[in-house]
Amino acid sequence: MRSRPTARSLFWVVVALLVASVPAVGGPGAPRAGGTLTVGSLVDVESLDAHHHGTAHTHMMVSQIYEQLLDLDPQGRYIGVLAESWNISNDGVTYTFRLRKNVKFHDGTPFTAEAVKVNLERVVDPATKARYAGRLGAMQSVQVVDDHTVAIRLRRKDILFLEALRSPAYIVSPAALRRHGKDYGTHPAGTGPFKIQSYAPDDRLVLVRNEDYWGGRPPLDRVVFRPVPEQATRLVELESGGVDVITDVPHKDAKTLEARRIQVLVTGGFQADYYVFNLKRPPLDDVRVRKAINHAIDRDTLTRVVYRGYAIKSITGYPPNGWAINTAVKGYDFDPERAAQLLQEAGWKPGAESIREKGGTRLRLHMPTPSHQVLLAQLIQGQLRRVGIETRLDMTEAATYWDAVRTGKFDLGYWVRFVGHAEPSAYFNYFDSKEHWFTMQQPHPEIEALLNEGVATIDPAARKRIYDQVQRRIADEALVIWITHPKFLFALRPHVKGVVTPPSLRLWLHKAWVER
Amino acid sequence: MLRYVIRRIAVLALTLVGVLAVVFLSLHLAPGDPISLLVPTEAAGGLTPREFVERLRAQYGLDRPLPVQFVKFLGRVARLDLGRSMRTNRPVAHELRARYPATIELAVAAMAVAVGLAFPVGMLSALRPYSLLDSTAMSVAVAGVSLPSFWTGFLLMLIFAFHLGWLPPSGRGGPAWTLDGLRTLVMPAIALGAGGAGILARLVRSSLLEVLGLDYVRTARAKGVPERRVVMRHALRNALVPVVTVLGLQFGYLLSGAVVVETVFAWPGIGRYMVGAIARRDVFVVQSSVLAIAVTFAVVNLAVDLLYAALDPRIRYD
Repeated sequence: MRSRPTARSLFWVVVALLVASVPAVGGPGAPRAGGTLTVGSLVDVESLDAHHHGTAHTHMMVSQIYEQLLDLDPQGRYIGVLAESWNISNDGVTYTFRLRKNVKFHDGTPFTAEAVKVNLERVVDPATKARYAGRLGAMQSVQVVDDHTVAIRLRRKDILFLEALRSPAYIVSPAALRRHGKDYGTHPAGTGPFKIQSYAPDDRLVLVRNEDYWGGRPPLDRVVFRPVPEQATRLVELESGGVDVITDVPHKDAKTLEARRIQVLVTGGFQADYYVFNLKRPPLDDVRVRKAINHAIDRDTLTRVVYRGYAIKSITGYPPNGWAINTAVKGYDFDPERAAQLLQEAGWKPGAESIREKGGTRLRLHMPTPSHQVLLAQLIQGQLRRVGIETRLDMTEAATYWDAVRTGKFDLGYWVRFVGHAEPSAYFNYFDSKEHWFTMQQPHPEIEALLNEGVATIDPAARKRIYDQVQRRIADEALVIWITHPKFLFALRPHVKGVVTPPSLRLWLHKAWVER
Repeated sequence: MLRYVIRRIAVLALTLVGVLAVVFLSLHLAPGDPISLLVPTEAAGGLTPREFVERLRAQYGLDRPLPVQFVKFLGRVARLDLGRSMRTNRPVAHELRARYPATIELAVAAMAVAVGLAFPVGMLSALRPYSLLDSTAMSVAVAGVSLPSFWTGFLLMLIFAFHLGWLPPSGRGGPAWTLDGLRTLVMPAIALGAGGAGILARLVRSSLLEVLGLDYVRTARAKGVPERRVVMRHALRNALVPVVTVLGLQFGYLLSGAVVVETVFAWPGIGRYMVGAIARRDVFVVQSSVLAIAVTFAVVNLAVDLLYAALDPRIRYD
């Protein structure tokens, strides 16, 4: 039905386009071979076993070593990496991949269809304890058609299957897996542009150039990832030249860095920060109260003050630059008068200390707050206070916090959805009561039905209509307080060139070089 | 002596079981679900179905009753099997082995800083009590105790790494006997040792001052023993007994204080590892890291107790 012949040449055309169109650093002048690029990362790599990790930072690091069948370009379209092309059968349940030839793993063994089978089966094998194996739940069997063709059969239609192949399914060397078994993670062998030289936990991960890389010899001799957990230390490291690139630049420091000739790359926006209502608890089961709260919140101020402008105001929970945005949904303006009126209609009248009351009960909401979002919570607290709603902020560390919201011990709960691409279903998963991180507490069968339909539909136009409805329903019933789509900042020293940062928070270093 | 050591080791084993029980309970009774944190919210793709999460929980044995989990854990520790990190899937023993030398190195270096500062300052103050030198030194010592290590750390980093560019801001360049290693060790060792130096300096001063006022010191002086010999041979040795006790305890504080300094200086030690593991509720890692620190602390204090006998021949362990 849908076929995408991505020949190698086309791949490079795409790469060239990307380099031209996304945050990429590179001045005039040809890449200079040699040198080491050191990256100061917020956290260490979780595991070098490609099937054993999940955080964005770990992906950023291991994706230098490992590759998947496909990846997303910065516009959010799938491009072949280890697969040259693929097609999906008319019934939507058989995916056939034509694999790239003459690709070698770092241990010298060839990449073949058998490797794809071994890897996919390892991810879903419960003994592997792969954290994201749940994503490949629709996969039924993997069949080796010939050395360079593999056919994957699904139990049901699942539009997210390609995404699952991108995200947890890195392809590692089957020979290395056999040789090292459970301890494979200490002997990583992938197909990526860099291969491992040494790894000292919490200290440094040293990668060297893969001379035989199928996509061309990378200019850099070495890439070093150093975890530097403390924000201030990371900045000092960058400014004193200890590292060349840092991740997780605090929004408030971007302007200062730019003034010092540090390059700041702004990427992302494919994330949503928002507050969920506990729909099971009164008065939040009353749509008028939820609408009032939505009107009481000044998103422009929050975006300016908390995110220093490095965020896009959220209207529907889906990034406005994504293809499935419903532009007809207007969301909730900042309108405290309207908020007061709605609360009045719902029977909440001003009482002592101008906090609203109904039947002797004060309008008081419990708003547990993770330590990294205190400022956001405090501003919201102030904005709600102006319309007569009292909130209690409970500062807790993150693990306690996530649990409180997951298990319903909250009224208003901060939540974040990091997606990294434009696939709409990923933004609304949490409205599905089958999801572990189902936060609304009260299932919404109509939305759930739409979401199920959305992942089983393949035609993009039909999918757009489905997600238009999802965005419309959520807005009409004010099920969520959408806040912003934050951006992610990298900072690079002036001599670093050719780094590409797609919105998925990867760092493409294959073409990067350092100018000395 | 040997019997004493054996008895102490037996008590130590019991203490460790107690430590493990407290850690185990505080981890499991505190809010925060280890398995939920394993399938974090920042994931990009599709659903994380509930059944999948529950299957993972069962695989890690975290669905069993707490007493069963605890007994299984003790059994494993007894066989010297610390399990695997839920997060990295690497054996916890490997993870600890990779980080333990860095933490011990930092604690020993900080101790050296503390002792190296505290002894001269404390002794000079004791020999010139209530002088300008004494009051200045003791004020500085109070400052050393009062300044939090992360603040001292950042201050050092700003001066020596950022402005002067003499030292690398963070990380560990290698073992302490290499130049790169030494260069990265200096600032964290001072940041961590400064607080201990303050406490020790005051203790050395008061302890020495007290001993210097005793009759036998007066006798020694009356016999015409040179002052230098009176202080170094006669007084200091006796003054050391309480100081050594505090040194042993200080080592424990340094190990736990390392948690902050290791984070500030991106030092790859156990403290930082443990903080990360607590945040992610990687239960096997937290239990084993605490165990490693508790064993170290207990062994150091046993050594201190044995040192008493060497310092003061009147102390005997029978």
